[in-house]
Amino acid sequence: MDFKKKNNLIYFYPLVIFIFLVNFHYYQFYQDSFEQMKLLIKNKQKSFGDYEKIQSEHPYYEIWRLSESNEKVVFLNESKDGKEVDYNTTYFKNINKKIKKDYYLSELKLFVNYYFFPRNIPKFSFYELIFNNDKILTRGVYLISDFEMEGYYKKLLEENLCRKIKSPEQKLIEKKFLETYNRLKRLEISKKNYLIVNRHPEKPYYLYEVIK
Amino acid sequence: MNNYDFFNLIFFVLSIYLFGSVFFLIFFRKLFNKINLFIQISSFWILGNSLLMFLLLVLFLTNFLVLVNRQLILISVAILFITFLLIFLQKKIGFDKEKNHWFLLLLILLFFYPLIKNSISSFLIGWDAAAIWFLKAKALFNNIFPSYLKDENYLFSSQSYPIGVPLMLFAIFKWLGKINDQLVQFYFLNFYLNLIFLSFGIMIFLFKQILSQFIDKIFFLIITLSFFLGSNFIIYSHNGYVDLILSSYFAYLFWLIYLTFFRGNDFKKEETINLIFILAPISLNIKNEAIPFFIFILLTLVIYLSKEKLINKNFLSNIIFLIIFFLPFFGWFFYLKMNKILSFLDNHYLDFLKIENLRRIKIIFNYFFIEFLNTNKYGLSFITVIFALIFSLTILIFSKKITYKHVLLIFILLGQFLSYVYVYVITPLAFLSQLESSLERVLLQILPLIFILDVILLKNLIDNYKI
Repeated sequence: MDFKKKNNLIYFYPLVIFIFLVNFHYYQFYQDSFEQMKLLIKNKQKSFGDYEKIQSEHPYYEIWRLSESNEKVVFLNESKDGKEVDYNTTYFKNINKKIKKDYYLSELKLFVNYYFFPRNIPKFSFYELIFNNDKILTRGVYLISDFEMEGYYKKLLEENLCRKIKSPEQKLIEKKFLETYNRLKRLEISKKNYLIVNRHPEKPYYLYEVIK
Repeated sequence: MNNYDFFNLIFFVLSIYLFGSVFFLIFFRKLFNKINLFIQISSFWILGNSLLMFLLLVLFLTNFLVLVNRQLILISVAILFITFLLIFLQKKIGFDKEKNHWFLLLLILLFFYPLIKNSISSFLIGWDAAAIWFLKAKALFNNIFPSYLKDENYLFSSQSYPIGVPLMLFAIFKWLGKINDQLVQFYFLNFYLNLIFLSFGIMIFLFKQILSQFIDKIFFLIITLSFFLGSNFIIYSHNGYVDLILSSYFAYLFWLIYLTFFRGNDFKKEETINLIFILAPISLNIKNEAIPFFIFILLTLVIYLSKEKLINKNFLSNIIFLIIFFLPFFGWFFYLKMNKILSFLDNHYLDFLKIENLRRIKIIFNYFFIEFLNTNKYGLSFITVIFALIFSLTILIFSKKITYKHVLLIFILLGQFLSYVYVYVITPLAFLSQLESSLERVLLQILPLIFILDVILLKNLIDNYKI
């Protein structure tokens, strides 16, 4: 076979076409993905701008909405100590401190930081929040949370139904939690229909408004 | 999508091509006349980005970034356009006269139409994109960069990472008059498309002699598309990560090194070397992985020039380009030192001497082999190019047709790969998490190099086929 003679490349056509078809199979996902987004945008509220129509399919759309408003927002960031590190968590090195320590950043916290930038959203742990709820949670404040209050509330109810014996400390936590919980109204997070190729599903997050 | 914003973005992107074309036509005319349409377009794009990035870095370091606004951009584009027209009217421009190349260009754009639409109608979800590159661009846009650097709340955003791409995003946001992290993904996509143009252009440039008919060009186009259609390429083509931007620079520089080493007689060496001296230092402002590449490129160039006894006064005068375009990176380095911003690798560079760190090497190579066989991410591309590389290298070595210039090209590729291994060995971060989350991205940076090296070696093989 002499490559310099005319058209010996033809022998390679079937092999190359086969490899192309295998790889094209992946590309088709994106063709479909665009079509899907086009259909989703079509059915969005007319009051939405073009940016918001697309953004409303973002897993953290509600966080973005809040960042666009001037409302006061606080963040209940419970999973931050590295105990709950999973696919939804990334890590960074705390290099500016004298004591070097890895610290972890959940995807939710990452997007809270990104959307609200340069606003700095106060972040609290569960105990910090419930024990200082009267100071932190004033009426009209929005609470972004990676901790589901309803789940905890149900757990307490079950414990009480079973007449579980609790220590004074546990009773105080329960009291403070109920005090906080009763002041909150859960806000709905819209269902996202856009399928993102090759991505882990995000962890759920919760939004509350302080109503009392 | 908002049509007004979209056309504004298209205008900005076209202006980058215009910027690159004007300077390419003025300073690299001989090179321009000898390359085909696809390489010409990717040259405009890479050079345009480099020059704009250089200007923005100079403005940033001299504290004049506030000067960037719509009026300034509009006036600059008008001047560039008039200059382009003047060059065009001279009628000395050697635009590719092969009509079928224009047809193929249109075909590629039509093929990627869904991806182009996808890039302007998808939201930003990538972690590094939001946490590092776009956050920095937001800080620049809001004119609070110094305070952002000192804010401990944003330590996660790798403050010491270079700001070349955030500055480009800043300029786009200034032009749009707002931050739009959806539309701007089209800017990222241009690097991916130009990587394809460059690779395809190199193929038809090198295999010119065996292209007997138009269908052969289609055949080479299919080969190129097959390689770049792996899902990993598609995912990172416009999701706000800068790895494919770096990959474009690596591929273009690799190509220039090839021209200098192998086609020095057809091309004016001085032009290709000058272009290397502009692009290589600018690539340092994109991502830190460009540092080893920069060193290897310079090292191979010095070895080649001294072996060929080409280091003379002319060459030394060209170094002025290197110094000028290196200055912004140097400036950024001092800016970090002055603000006491550390890199996560600082104080860990000698950690490879520790036994526990050296033990990581086996794991790194295990991960590499898993990645190599991952057809979900790369289709059959990765496997095919590695096999082709081994095949062509074996024949060239045993037939003694391999030259020291080939070895230098392989040295660049291998050196870059080993630099990744080195970083994984010394990293103070959670080693496995970092390896798992970044290996696919760093491999994207060098995969096009393997493809281009394959093409170069196969070309050599065909030239020497009747051994």
